[in-house]
Amino acid sequence: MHSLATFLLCFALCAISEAHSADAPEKTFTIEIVRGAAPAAQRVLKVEKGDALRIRITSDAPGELHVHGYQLAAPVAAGKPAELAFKAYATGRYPIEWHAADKRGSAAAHRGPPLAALEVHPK
Amino acid sequence: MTRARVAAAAACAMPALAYAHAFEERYDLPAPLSYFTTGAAAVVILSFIVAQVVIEHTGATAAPGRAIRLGALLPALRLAGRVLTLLLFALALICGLYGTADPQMNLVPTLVWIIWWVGLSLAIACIGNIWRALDPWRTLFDAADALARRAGMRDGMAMHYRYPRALGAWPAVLLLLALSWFEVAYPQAAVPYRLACVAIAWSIMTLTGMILFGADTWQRNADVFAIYFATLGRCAPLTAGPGLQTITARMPGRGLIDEPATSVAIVCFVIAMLSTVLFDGLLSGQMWWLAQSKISHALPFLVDADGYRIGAAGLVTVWLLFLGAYALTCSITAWLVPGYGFKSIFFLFAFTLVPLAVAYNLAHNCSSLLMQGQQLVALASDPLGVKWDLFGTANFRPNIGLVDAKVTWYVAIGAIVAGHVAAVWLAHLAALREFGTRRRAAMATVPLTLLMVVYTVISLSIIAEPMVKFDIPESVISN
Repeated sequence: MHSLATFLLCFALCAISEAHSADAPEKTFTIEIVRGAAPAAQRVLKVEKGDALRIRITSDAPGELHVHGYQLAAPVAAGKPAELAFKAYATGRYPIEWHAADKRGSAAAHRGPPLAALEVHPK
Repeated sequence: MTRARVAAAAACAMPALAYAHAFEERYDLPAPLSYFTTGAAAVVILSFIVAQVVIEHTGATAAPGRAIRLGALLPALRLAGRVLTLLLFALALICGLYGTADPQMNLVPTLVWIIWWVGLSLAIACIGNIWRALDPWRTLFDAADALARRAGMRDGMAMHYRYPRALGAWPAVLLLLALSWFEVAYPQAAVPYRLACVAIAWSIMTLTGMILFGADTWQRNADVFAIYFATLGRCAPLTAGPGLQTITARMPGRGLIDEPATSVAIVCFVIAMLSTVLFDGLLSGQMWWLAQSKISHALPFLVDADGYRIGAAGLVTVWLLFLGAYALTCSITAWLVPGYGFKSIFFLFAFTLVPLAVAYNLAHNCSSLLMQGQQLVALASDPLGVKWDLFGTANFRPNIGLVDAKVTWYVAIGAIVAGHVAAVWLAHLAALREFGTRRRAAMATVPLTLLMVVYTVISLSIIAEPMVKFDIPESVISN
């Protein structure tokens, strides 16, 4: 009986939190990669914990965009927009790396500053 | 949404992605300015309050610690600890030499840098110097020594050559600086094979030293780990008695003021403990990138592609700056309190700085410890990173949402403020004991308290500094 009550409570809480997060508006960001770099204004993606976000990516050359920590990857073809949509469930500052197709696997892949950073701030 | 899911699934299924990840990537958000200012204000106000309380209301003699008889418990625990650590050491060497080159998938980097260097350091400062019961090199020496005696060699393994007096504890100081450079400025410090090679080189060196000069002499002077952990153990509330028959419970920090430092080298060692933890934080921040670009303009010979030389130069410079600041503080104190030489003051207060190093270590590394520590769950099933699954946990991935940034900020700022309070308090107790009158003690601690405030505010500013490598000026990137 006790466990059933606990289960129901958890279920209700989950439902409430789900419903609550569904209300949060989606934040959209654009990263336009040219020669492996993003414009200065697009280098910090700032959201709050719990926000839903959508990143639109374009690039002049094929490659892959990685959001570290969240372990997300988006393959991008040259000139064709790609998208990543996810919920910012964990706070922190996560590097967003660009791996151009012609440089994959090279040791230089993680040298130097990342393309951008995702900042998820606590509420 | 589906697209992200697919991408996420692809990321999980694709070992190539995980392979590319650097070891111990930090996801810390810098603490907001309000935390910094609150922390800094608390530090200044508490310094006055602590000073007042100690000087006006504390007796010069602290209560002695309480010794508790434990019989055969401690020797048994030591035996278990020694066997376990020796097995882990062997496992680490095997993983380093024969396991995968990926730092995330190999047990060695997490075991060495997170569990041992950070985790054990903090555990020792909070509990007691258990390293003496774990040290695998001492275990190897003691075992060989016992066998040699049994085989009829009356003096065992040690040849007991005279250790050069002039050398003192300087080898340990140099080794601590070298180790810190290896840890923070050498990008291959997380490469398992490199770590195993360094461990083998250190094993040969330290066992040779123990054989030449005797284990105790070597560990007192040149064994950087023995000295490092013993210094941290001085903060701890527990200490084992002779022959491991008793354990003494004492006021935390008592060990830092009961016996002052005995040589200049040991003071330099303590200052190196402080400066290296701070440099670690400095190196991951924006300030370092700016400093680096300035230095490389001014002193081009320091520039190399991997930043080895500039890292080494920065590390030594910060150490010398701290040493200079501490020496200056002590000479002002010597001037304020006539009758006491510079050297006795230099020795008296050195250990009271240790809580600052412990606090910054916790503040800087608590999120790493909690994030990267989770990786142990997976590594236990597959220590070599060769697709084993011994306990069915090989696919466990750390939960990056385990601790909220706010919790990390509270812990970090709280630890730094608490460490500062402890340091100021201990310095005042030490002064009260040494200088007899309350007035003299109050005078003698003013310069040191100011130095501690400066150090703590620097620590706070590094915790609050944005760890950005990308929104720094274009000129820095193009350099």
